[in-house]
Formats: sequence, structure tokens, C-alpha cells
Amino acid sequence: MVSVRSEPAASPAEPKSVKIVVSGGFGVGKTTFVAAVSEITPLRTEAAMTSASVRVDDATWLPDKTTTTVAMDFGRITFDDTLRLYLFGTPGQERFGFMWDELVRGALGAVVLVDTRRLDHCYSSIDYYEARDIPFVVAVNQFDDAPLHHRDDVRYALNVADAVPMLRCDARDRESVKDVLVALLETVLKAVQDSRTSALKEDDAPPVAVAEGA
Amino acid sequence: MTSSDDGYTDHDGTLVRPYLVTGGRTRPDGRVLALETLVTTTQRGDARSDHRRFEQRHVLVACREALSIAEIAAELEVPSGVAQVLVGDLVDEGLLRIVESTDANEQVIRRLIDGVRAL
Ligand SMILES: Nc1nc2c(ncn2[C@@H]2O[C@H](COP(=O)(O)OP(=O)(O)OP(=O)(O)O)[C@@H](O)[C@H]2O)c(=O)[nH]1
Ligand SMILES: [Mg+2]
Repeated sequence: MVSVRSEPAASPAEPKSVKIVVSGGFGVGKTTFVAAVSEITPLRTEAAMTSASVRVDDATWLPDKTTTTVAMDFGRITFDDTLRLYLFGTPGQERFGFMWDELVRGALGAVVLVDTRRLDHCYSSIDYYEARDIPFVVAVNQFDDAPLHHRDDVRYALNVADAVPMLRCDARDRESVKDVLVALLETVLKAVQDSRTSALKEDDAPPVAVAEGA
Repeated sequence: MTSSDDGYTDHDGTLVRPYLVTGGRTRPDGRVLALETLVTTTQRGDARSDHRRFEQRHVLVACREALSIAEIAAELEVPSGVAQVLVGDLVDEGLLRIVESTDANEQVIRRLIDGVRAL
């Protein structure tokens, strides 16, 4: 961990970070998805849910009784010295909604994982991203005992726009996860290009819509 | 900074920092310490890696290579809100620096697409 550096000041190649969020219902494969491409074993960080006095003291933190914590898993892909991608799994439960705002703020886009045995578990994720115009793709995880659904049937059941890519995915398979991420990034690219085009039309509009707060 | 005169000292003398844990704390310059925000140790921070508090010391050493708030939280095994406060204080002391973030322009996204394909 401790590295001896020849030049202590900022190097010209500063790392930049971007973020993608991975959501879906409980046990749908979010952590597995992140692990499939992350260079680190997914790390876990917790966020406390309520206002609380927290003791920032040597190696201890003591939340008060009203505090619940929610765990998020995240992974990292370092492309080079100047670009890193962080992948965050969103907590499954809807009641952690407020955490979503913090997690999603500044994200390039989102992957919504779907288990065809429990389609309804991803409705809240889809609603969330649709309502905020956040680019997302739907990745249909094929669990072994799940009935095989035609993609159009799933799209119909989820009621997502045709423009939203929908892919079959095995979160345990690195190549499959890469495909999903590329599909998402292409959607993000298109959104950025579209917003630039419309910004040229009304030149007082903000140039990039997706990078809010990033 | 001593813990006796900073207004955060508990009755039993330990340092207590009350705050709203709902995160997304805004810096004085309007920026937010997001989970993916990268911070790195400054030259001054490097010289202070003997910081008297264990966690601060740990962060100053770990962030010689830029790390995200989320990684710092995981490394210290504290909630992200605690890491945000800790990092914010070290930034205020000039021992850590927030790495300028990038906006999602076409060039960045194209690099990401190529990068993921090449994994
Ligand atoms: N067959 C199959 N199994 C999968 C797939 N993705 C995940 N699993 C399995 O499903 C189980 C749950 O996966 P997790 O990655 O822990 O799910 P999660 O969404 O992170 O779960 P929570 O964080 O608890 O909500 C694990 O046993 C995985 O091996 C998939 O694409 N296909
Ligand atoms: Mg998980």
C-alpha cells in the first residue's frame, strides 16, 4: 500500500473517475455483476440512514440507536492513469430511496438487472431512472430454474421504451457483463450526442445533461 | 487542532462530530464529496503522515495514490458519511486535495467503450 514516489506533487496525469450504478431487486446478481469485471473484490461500504451523532474517533464510530446502515458493494476498473470506472450496486430495498439519490448523482448511467421469476422487483429501479432521464439498459439475468421468456414479452411486461436496450445476461460471465456495459455506454454516448445537438439548437441550454454534479 | 476547543468535545472528552448522515456533503466551493470523488494527499499531507489520529494517518498514507471516498470508507471500515467528514476535514486542513472531476464528454465515453471491450 505504501509507495515511495519520486515526485510528491501532483503528476500531470490526474486520474478521473466516472460511475455506473447497478440496480435490481434483492439477490438478482448485482454483486456478482460487479465482481465479474472489477479489478478488486467488490468492497463494501455502508451508509447510515438517519441523522445521528457519530463519533469520529480513533477507529471507532458509534451510531445512535435510531441509525440503520445500508450496505453497498462497489468495484473498480482502472483503464489507465487518467481514467477509472467505479461500479456501485444500489441497495435492493425501496425504503433506502434517499440513498439512491446520493448513489446515482453524477452517474453516467445505470444497469437494471432483472430476474424473470420476479419481474416486479425491478419496477422501482426502472421508474427511478425513467423519471430522471438517466440512461439505462435492462439486463435479463437467466437463472437456471427460470422460465425462458421471449425478450419482447419481458419488454412488454416491464413497459420500457424501445430505445432502452434489453440484453440477456449472465452476471457470472465476464464477457456477458462486458456486453451489458458496452450497450449502456453506447446509450450514454447517444444521449450525450443528442443533448449536444439540441444544445446547438437552443444555445443557452446546458451542453451536457448526463454529467450533472460529476 | 486540539479536541478541547473545537466545540465537538463530548462530556467524556472524546471527539464527537454531530452531523446529518444523509451524505452528499457540500464543500465550501459548492462541490460535493461523492462516493466516487477522488482525493489525493498533498505535499503538506505527505509531511503529516505522522498525524496524531490513527484514521487520518491511515488516509494520508493510503491517498498518496488517489482514492475514492467509497474506497476510503471501505478501507477504514466506516460508513461513507464518516469518511466524507474525515476527508472533508483533511481537505480543509490542506492535507488532502480533491481531484478535479471530469465531465462525461464524447471522448471520455468512447475511451470507456474501448476500455471495457479490451478487458
Ligand atoms: N444462474 C445465475 N445465477 C446468478 C446470476 N447472477 C447471480 N447469480 C447467483 O445469484 C446469487 C445472488 O447473487 P448476488 O450477486 O449476491 O445478488 P445481489 O443482487 O448482490 O444480492 P443482494 O445484494 O443481497 O440484493 C448468487 O448465488 C449468484 O451466484 C446469473 O446471471 N445466473
Ligand atoms: Mg449484493
